[in-house]
This record gives sequence, C-alpha cells and structure tokens, in this order.
Amino acid sequence: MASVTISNVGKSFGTMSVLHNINIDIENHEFVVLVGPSGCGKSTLLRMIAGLETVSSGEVRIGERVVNNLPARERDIAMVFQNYALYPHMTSYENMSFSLRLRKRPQAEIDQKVRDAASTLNLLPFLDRSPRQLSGGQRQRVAMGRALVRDAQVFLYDEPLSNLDAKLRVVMRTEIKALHQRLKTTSIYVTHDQIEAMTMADRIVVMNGGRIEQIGSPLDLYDRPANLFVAGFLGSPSMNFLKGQMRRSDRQAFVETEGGMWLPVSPDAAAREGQPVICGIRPEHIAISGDGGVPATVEVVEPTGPNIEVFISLAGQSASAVISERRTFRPGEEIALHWLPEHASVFDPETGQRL
Amino acid sequence: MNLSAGFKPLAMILPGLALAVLIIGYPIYDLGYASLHEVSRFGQFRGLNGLTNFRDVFQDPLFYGSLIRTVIWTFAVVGGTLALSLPIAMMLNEEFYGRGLARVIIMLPWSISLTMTAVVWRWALNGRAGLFNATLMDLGILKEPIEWLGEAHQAFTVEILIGILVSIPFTTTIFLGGLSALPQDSYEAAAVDGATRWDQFRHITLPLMKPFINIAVVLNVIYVFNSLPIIWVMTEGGPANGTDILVTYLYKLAFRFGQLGKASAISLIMFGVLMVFTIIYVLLVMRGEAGADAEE
Amino acid sequence: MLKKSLLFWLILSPLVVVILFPFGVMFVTAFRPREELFTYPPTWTFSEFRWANFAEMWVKTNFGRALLNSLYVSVLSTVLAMILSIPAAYALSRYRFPGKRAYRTFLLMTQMMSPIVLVLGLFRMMVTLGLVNTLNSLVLTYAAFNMAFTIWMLQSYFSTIPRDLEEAAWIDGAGHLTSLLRVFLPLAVPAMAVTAIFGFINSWNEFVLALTMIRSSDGFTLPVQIYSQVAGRYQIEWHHVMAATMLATLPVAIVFSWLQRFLIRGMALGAVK
Ligand SMILES: Nc1ncnc2c1ncn2[C@@H]1O[C@H](COP(=O)(O)OP(=O)(O)O)[C@@H](O)[C@H]1O
Ligand SMILES: [Mg+2]
Repeated sequence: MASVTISNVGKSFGTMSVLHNINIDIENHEFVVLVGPSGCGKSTLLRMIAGLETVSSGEVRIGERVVNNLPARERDIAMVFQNYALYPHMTSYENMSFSLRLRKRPQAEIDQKVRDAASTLNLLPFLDRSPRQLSGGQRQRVAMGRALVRDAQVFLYDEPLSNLDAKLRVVMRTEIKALHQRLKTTSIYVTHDQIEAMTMADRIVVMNGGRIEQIGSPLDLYDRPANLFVAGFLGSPSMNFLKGQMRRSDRQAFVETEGGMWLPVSPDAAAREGQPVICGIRPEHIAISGDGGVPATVEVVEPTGPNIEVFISLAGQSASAVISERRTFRPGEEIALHWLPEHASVFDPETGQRL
Repeated sequence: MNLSAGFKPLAMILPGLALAVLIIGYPIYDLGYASLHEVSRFGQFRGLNGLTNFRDVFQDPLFYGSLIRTVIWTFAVVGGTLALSLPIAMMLNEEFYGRGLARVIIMLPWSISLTMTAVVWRWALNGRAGLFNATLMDLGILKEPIEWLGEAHQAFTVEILIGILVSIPFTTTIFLGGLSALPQDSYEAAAVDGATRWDQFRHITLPLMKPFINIAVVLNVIYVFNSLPIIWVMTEGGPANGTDILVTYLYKLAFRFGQLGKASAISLIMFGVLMVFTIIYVLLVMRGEAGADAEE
Repeated sequence: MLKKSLLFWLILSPLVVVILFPFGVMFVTAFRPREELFTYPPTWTFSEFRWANFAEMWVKTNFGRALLNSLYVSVLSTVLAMILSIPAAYALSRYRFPGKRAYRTFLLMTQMMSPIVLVLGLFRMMVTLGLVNTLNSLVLTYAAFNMAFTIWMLQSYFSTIPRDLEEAAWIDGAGHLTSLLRVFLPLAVPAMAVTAIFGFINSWNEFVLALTMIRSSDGFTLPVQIYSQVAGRYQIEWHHVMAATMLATLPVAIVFSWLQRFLIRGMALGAVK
C-alpha cells in the first residue's frame, strides 16, 4: 500500500488541454473520491495514474516512485472499469486469476486467493460461468474480484457502479466501503454522483472543467463550500442562491434582496456594506412557520416520503425548502422562513468564491 | 487508449501500404509514361510522341462505339440492379417463412466467379442445344429457337440482364445492412401518426436509406464500368465489335493487336473517369462519417 | 404470416428461377452422356448419371493442375493479405496517428481501383520483375487488390472489441504482446477467419489478371482453364466444361452461403458506411 502524489499535473490531447495544474496528495490507506460533472477530466486523471494515458506535464508518484514513464503493468495498481472490461472468453475464475497466472504464481496460491476473493464477494457459485452468463451485479463483483486478488498498492475505480440499478448501487456502495475499511488499500474512486462521493470518501476532490475546485472531507465541503460550484454541486436538492446586497448592523449581517427582504447570514462573511453578494442556504436548513421570519409564497409541493420539498418564491427569486414534519401546504399560501445565520454562506457573484 | 503510440501505428500500416503503392501506383506511372510514347508491339519504347496516342484514340470510331455502349451498359445494369435490389432487400428484411433460404438463393450468384456464370449462360443460351430455348418452347412462349448471342443488339441486351442478375446480391447486401440499422421506433411513431405503408416508405425508409443508395450507386457504377468477364466470355465483344465496351476493347488492343501506346491512352482515360467516381465515393463515405462523428 | 410468406415467395419466384436456372443447366449437362448433348430439341431429362464424365474431364481438362494452381494462388495471396492487413487494421481501430485520414482515403481509393484499368501496366511491371507467367505474380497482385477490403472489414470488426479489455490486461500485468495474444486475438479470430474466407473467394474467382499474367496452360487457374475450354474452340466438350464448372463452384458456393450473414453484419458495422 502506498501514497499517491500528483504534482502540477496537466494533460492535453493534441492542442486541446483538458487538465490544468492538478495537485493532490493522497495518503496511505486513504479513500479519495474524484467527483465532478461528466467531461471534467476525472477519468483522464485516473487513467494517468493507472498508466493508460501519458502525463503531459507535472509528476505522478506512487509511494516514493515517480511513475510518469512506467508502463501500467509495472505500477502495481488494480483498476475496476466502468464497463467492467471482463475478458469475455474467460470464466469468472479465469478472469480473476489472470493477473496471478501472468505472474506465474503457484497454482495453490492462485486457487487460494481467487477463492478468498470470491467468498468475500459471494461469487463462489459463479466461478465457472462466463461473463455472458452473469447478471450486471455479478459482473461488477467479478471486476472487483479481479482487483482484489492482486494485493495491489492502489485500487482505482472508474464509475464502477454507474451501470447498476439504483438499489444495487446503494448496496455495492456500502460493500466497497466496508471492504476498504477491512483492507485499507489506498483507493481512488471516480464518480459523477455526489451522493456516492459524500457517502464513501475520506476526502473528496471536486473537479470542474479540468481544474480542482476544492479538496476536503465530505462534511467540510458540505458545510463550508469554497465557491458557488462546490456549493451547488454537493447536496440534493441543491443549495438555494439568492442575489442581494450586503447589510451589516451591530453583530448581525444580512443580505438585502431587490424586493427589500433582509436575509440573515453569518456575520463572519468578509463582505463590505453594500457589496453585491449571493446568499447560499441549503433547503434542509430552512424551517417554515406561519409568521415572523422571511416572508415567501408556496408554489409547488413535492412529498418524497421522509421529507417534503416545498418550492417557494422569495422576493421574486425561486428557492426550495425541505422539511421533515408532516404538514400541508397550498400553492399560493403565504409562509415565513427561518434559518440560523451561520448556516447561510455568502459568495462573491464576480469570482464565485466564498466570502 | 491514447498511448504515446509514436511510430508504432505507422510501422503497422507501412508494409501493406508499400505493397499497395507498388502494385497499384507503379502501373499508373507506367501507363502514363507509355501513353506519351510510341510503343512497339513487343513493348519497346520508341521515343516520345506527345499526344499522338490520345489523338489516335479520339479518331477511332470503334472507341466511340465502345464508349457509347459502356455508358448504356453501365446505366442499364446499375439502374436495373437498384430498381430490383431495394424491394428485394426490404422483403428480405421482414420476417417470413423461408427467409433464410431466400437470402441464400439470392446471394448465390455472388459466390460464383463471373467467368463461370458467363460460361454456363453461354451454353444455356445456345440456339439449338441450349436449355433456355427448349424451356421457353416447352412453356409455349417461343415457337422457334432463337440464336440469342448471334446478333449484337440481342446479345448485348442478354449480357445486360445477366449483369443485373450478378449485381443484385452485393447491392441487396448493402441495403440489408442499411435497413437493419433503421430505427424501428420511427416506424411505430409514423404508424401512430396514421401513415400508410407507402407513406412510411416515402417519408422514412427512402430518406434514411439515401446514404446507402448513394453508395450503392457509386460502387455499382465503378464495378460495372470495369466488368470484363461477362461480355468477354459470352461474345468477346463480337459479333463485329457490336458488344464491345471500353474494357473489352482495351483488352483486345493491348493483348490481341499489340497497340500498346493506344491501349495505355485508353487505360488512362478510363482511370480518369474512375477517379471522378472514386472521389465522389470517398466524399460520400467521409460525409457519412462526419455525420456519425457529430452524433457521438 | 403465412399469407405474407406466400406473397413474398411469389414475388421473388421469377428471380429465384433465373438464379437457379444456370445451376440446373450445369447439373444436367455435367451428368448427361455425351451422345445426348446435341439432341434436338434438348431436354432436362437424361438417360443415366454418367459419373465417368467427371473422371474424363479431370484428365482431359487438366483439372487437377488448375485446381492446385488456384489453391496455391488463393491461399498464398490470402495469407499475404491477412499478414499485412491485421496490423494495419489494428492500428486503424486502436491508435490516432498523423496521416490517418489520408491513409483511410487511400484505402477507399484502392478499394475502387480495378485490375482491368491497370492490367497493361501491371503486365509490363511483371515483365520487368521477371514474374510473368508465374503464379507468384498473381499472389502479389491479388493480395494488393484484396487488402483494401480486408483491412476495412477487419478494422470494423476490431472496433467492436472494447479497448478497455486490453487496458485491463495491461493493468493485470500483461505486456503489449501478451495482451494481444491472450486477450485480443482470441476475440478477433472469428472475424479474421470470415475476412480471410472472403478474400480467398475473391482470389479464387478472379479472371482478368489470371488470363493476362499466365501465358502457358500449365499455370492456368480454374476460371482461366475453364474459359480456355470454350474460347476459340471449334468443338466444345460442354459436358466436360459443365462438370468442371460444377466442381469449381459448388464448394465455394456452399461456404459462401454459410458465411453471407457475416458479410451483411460487416456492412452494417461500417464496412461500407
Ligand atoms: N483520447 C482522447 N482524445 C481526445 N480528447 C479526449 C480523450 N479522452 C478524453 N478526452 C476529452 O477530455 C475531456 C475529459 O474527459 P474524461 O476524463 O473522460 O471526463 P470524465 O471522466 O470526467 O467524464 C473531455 O472533454 C473529453 O472529450
Ligand atoms: Mg469518465
């Protein structure tokens, strides 16, 4: 097991530059998730770590070794592919044992390792089947098993769950996390699904347009997003953004909207009086009552089961709130909103950065 | 898999490329050279004679006769083939009892060398001994046996029909490839919108098949324009040069009459015509690919 | 369904009859005793299956020799074309490289080049190379003219084999050669076999080049040998000609019938598109 260090890494395909100045330090045993919208360069970065793409600039290190020019097979990594990449002409057993056979391990050891991995993954009954005869979930497990038998330094995952149905995805998510807690192999996991990122990661790397937006633990990122992109990307339903101007009085701070509504925000925000800003408040941080607070109008109500999502209009801007108590709302109903000032972040509309 | 592949892919295509350039490139150069020289019937060059060979060609009435027949031959065979192949492909694309067998039978002429097909037909069409006349007479369609290949017009017509017959399998295959890629849901949507079978054909099948029809036209034009064996085996361009097309005339000039300079000139003229069609084909293919790339 | 099937067969029947007609003629002529060849009016029936026709034909038309020549030329040219095409098709389906577009255009163009237009130049080239009247001249030219088709066909099949299988093999510890041999090749073999068989059939049936390059009858391939039995002869032994034609075409026709669906698939995959 090893750390992975990515320093000043850039990548271009021909003249098109897709990754710019990427720096990530991944510690031994860490589970790091790269998350971002599709096309932002996550797979490319992962494939550079794997040795499937060349590194255009900068340095990739696994442990102490610079691996920029090392072929994939010498990097001692294992990878789970999005489409599993199972060898169609081999059985599950042969798929899982392929790497060991290439390394000419003794037959007894191969057998032992494959069976161990298979029992961990509940694959024992399927070892003689070819990938064609397996369900999507079973194929995914064989792909995992292929990585597992390796005792590799680093596990790489490229959206391994995106081809599974929603239920199975949740199950596998937990299994992969449990597996990591047991084996503690350094893992880098690529996904575009922010829930996967939040639930699985020790640390999340949020990427956008070939750049890193923020690195941090899931709750750090959730509570103190560094910019509008991270704030909007993490969390579902996503954060409300309301435009206005900064107002300060005593110890308190507010954002005044165009309609003259005063939204309480954290007084720590580094914004001048009168500066145009964006107030960000998560739907689940909003409480609804009959009066007091910020007045708003109910537009659409969507119960999701555990919660109710209320779409509202606030001084001509749209927002949403998620509440868990059972109560009924009528469209058009006048309501009042409350939240704790420290739950509301303030962003600079020019730069998108948190203030 | 965008490895720093370097020169590897070039090394992989190079040996094949070298053979193709040698076998296809060198003869073109040689023909160009020969067409500008006086050449003895044994192939010795006797000095530059400018465009004399080309002038000879353009003053030759047999050249014009062959040229006209080449145009007729190409248009008739390609037109007939397309007119028959699209409905055949559409039928073969539907489920029906014995479809597998029907496909095999219709593809059959493709597997057989044109030479052999022509030999068999030449025998079958024999005036007195051929089974074609005999069968027609048994059916009461003919009273007297006909010498099908004895007279130029008639022989040429027969050759065109056989040309169509042997071109159908290839064309049908292209169309079947195209039809199998048509989106089924547009038909369902059209049916829901109240389109009749004919509407569906006109407004869905035909427009969507257009790229395949274009390609089939160009490929067939090229193949038919260049096809020697049927006419060569059945009539050798005769009687009295009455079924000669450019390829048979060219072959006679080169390998019977030893007029190598003139034959080189005709080769080059044909090469030019072929180039025009080839460029059309390449543009069609590239356009299709550009469209496919844009969809990705 | 039944009604539709009957209707379709009815519409197709004239074509089916015309396609099968020459096979019928071939069959009844090949087996008929020589005396019954020129009876008038000719009939479809005949008095006995004269198997001896085939034995006579074999000797008289030097069939065995021509068969060997055809096999030699077709096998060797196919092997040569495949050896040159497989790496080229792999490069096309797997790598980006400078000049790729130009190379694909070149392939399309050579696919369109027909031997007949170049035949005079080719003949003169073979004279220069001292290859005229040798079967190897045909091996070289057939391979060159078939290559565009085989490369095109192979690359469209290769492109359906996912790249990440090879990548997975590298990560599993395989070198390029090992991943080619143990992962790519087993998956590509069926496509290669199909392509090779089509290349073989093309060579087997070729006429113009064989007619031109081979001057002495010892080197004739089957199409030329059969043609020489009917060309410029006073007396044509039609029963021998038909027996020879039948022997030369039937095996190929059977293999082809079995494989034709792969050709349609190849076209749908982009062999023509
Ligand atoms: N082999 C390639 N050649 C050219 N561009 C590529 C290649 N692979 C990826 N790209 C481009 O790089 C960008 C990042 O792609 P990728 O890493 O696959 O994104 P993600 O995995 O985040 O969805 C995209 O714009 C994509 O089009
Ligand atoms: Mg990706």
